[in-house]
Amino acid sequence: MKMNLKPAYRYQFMSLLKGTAVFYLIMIVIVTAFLAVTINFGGSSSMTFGGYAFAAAVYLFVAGIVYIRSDLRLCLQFGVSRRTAFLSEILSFLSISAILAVAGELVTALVRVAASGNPNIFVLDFYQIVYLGAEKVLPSFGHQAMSFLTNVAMFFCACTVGAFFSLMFWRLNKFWTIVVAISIPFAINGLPYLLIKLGVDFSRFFAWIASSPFCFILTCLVIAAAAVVIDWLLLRRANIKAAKN
Amino acid sequence: MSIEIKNITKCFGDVCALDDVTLSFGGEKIYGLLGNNGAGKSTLLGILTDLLHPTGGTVTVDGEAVSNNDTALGKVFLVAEQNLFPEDMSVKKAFGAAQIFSAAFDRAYAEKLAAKFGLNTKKKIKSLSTGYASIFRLIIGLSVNTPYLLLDEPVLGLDAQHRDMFYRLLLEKYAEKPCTIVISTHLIAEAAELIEHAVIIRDGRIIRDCPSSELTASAYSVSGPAGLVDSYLEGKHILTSNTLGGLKTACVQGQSDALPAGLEFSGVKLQDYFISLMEEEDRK
Amino acid sequence: MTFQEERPIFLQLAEQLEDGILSGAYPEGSQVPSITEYSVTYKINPATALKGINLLVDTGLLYKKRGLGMFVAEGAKEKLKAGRREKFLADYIEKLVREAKNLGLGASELSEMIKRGFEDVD
Repeated sequence: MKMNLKPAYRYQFMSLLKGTAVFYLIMIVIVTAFLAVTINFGGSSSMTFGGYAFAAAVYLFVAGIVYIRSDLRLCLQFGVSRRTAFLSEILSFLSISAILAVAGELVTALVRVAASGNPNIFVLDFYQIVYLGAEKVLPSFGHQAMSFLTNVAMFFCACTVGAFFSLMFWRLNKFWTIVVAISIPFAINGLPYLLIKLGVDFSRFFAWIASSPFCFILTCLVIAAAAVVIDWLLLRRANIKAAKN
Repeated sequence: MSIEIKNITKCFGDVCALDDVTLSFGGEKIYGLLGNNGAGKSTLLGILTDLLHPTGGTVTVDGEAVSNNDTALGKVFLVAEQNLFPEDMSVKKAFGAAQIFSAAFDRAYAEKLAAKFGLNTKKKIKSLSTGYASIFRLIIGLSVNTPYLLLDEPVLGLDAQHRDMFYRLLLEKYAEKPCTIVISTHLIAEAAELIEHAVIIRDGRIIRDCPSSELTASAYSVSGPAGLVDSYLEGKHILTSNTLGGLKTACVQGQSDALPAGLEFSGVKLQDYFISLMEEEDRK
Repeated sequence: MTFQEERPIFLQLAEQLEDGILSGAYPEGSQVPSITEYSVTYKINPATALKGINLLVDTGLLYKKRGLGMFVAEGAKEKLKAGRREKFLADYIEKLVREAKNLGLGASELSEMIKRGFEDVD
């Protein structure tokens, strides 16, 4: 078997896990503090807890940027080919996305348990806001399962897109790096404006996404797939050098 | 069982670092890849380990092509001039990572070596001095026990004592667990007695590839009164010559034949032969 | 032992071994250092050390005991002495005479000096 996936996956997953554990611990501390304050001092005003999904997505986006290059270098140092290193990185991203998504549902469950009896505490995270109409209701198990799926897709997408940015800037020389860096704010602001002027209707697209979680999941997976393909194309012929000190 | 390099060319844009290089490393020998800075040594080693993609040519390890091949790549370990480990990783954690990736990694031996060199394993890699960063990479290289071990300028930054220790440890390891070793260096004199086979590279081309004993036996030095030396040198392949006052010394390619009176002959050390070779190439 | 300038290392190693046998540092029947020991101590490739040792094996001064190492053969000392005596003329005498002639010393002057040498050197 020409591919030796296990050691690379073990190493990459473990190192991702460590960083993720720190992130998660911080989340737990925040939630616990929030709950403690609300239960003891909240009185009758309602409190909602949300933002876990967004925070996790941002964390994983950064993780995608941070880990892809250093993991690739280390794998090559120990005789693991780029293809294997990249494949195990994608699998690690997937694993961590799933773990953080499950962990997120645990946070929701934690809040539900701690708030049992107190009618003023709610969880309003990404899934609830978009697909449950922001109803101030503690989500059912079925809803949590869907929430898990949308989060996994979103998290995985964040990782692969983070990796894309890292690899893109790696392969670009100085001139093009500056060009791309400058053009990003132009693209973000100018492009939608231009497209709207040309008659492209974004609201229909967003409505479609919001119509069902599966649409959102599909969008995320399409973006992630594109990112994975571009990531591989960027790194398969790259000249690997040490990190700049 | 060998690394076969066939017609490897590597160009970075317009500049070609390697030009049609064909070589073979095997037989559990110690090879010297000798050349000046910028000759293409590091580029070649990078291609052998898939860090760099060749512009043309092929590399096989034990018959298998290197590209996208974990089995082939896993047999080769490169102690590079540059650090490929995460910078905020501690030496200890790096040993742990080595254990994950390499079944043959001898952790106990690595820790013993770290103690011997005075390397604090708790330190982060980015906080190591140049010398100790080299020592760290050398320790990993000596402990992974791969069939092929490539060393790129291994003693850069090492003080005299550590250099001495490293050479002895390398020979010890080679005696106990033979493998094919390639030492790439511009420190010819230091490598001279360690290597069994010499590959001399210049401007991306291989100009010599033979057992090192053949190399030093292929040239000799003649010295004496300038006039006598000049007449002796007629028709001979002269590599270099020096004249000091009336005394002339020349380095000649070939075997010394009849010894005319008044002339002194002696062998040529590898470094001197190398320098003479470079000077001859310079003149071309 | 430090290595001189241009003589091949394996030759110098062989000579050093021979000197040791002659002087009694390596008595007959005793074990000489292993290839690895030579390699590590003098920082030379084991193949070079092997080449030097094999020179003595070829001339019957050393023999190999399977699994143990290299040992000095019986009668090696005498063999060496005999061999060196033969080479004494070429190695030393010719050089001595040539130098003496360079300095303008005659045969009888040289004899006197040699006699003095025998008295002075222990």
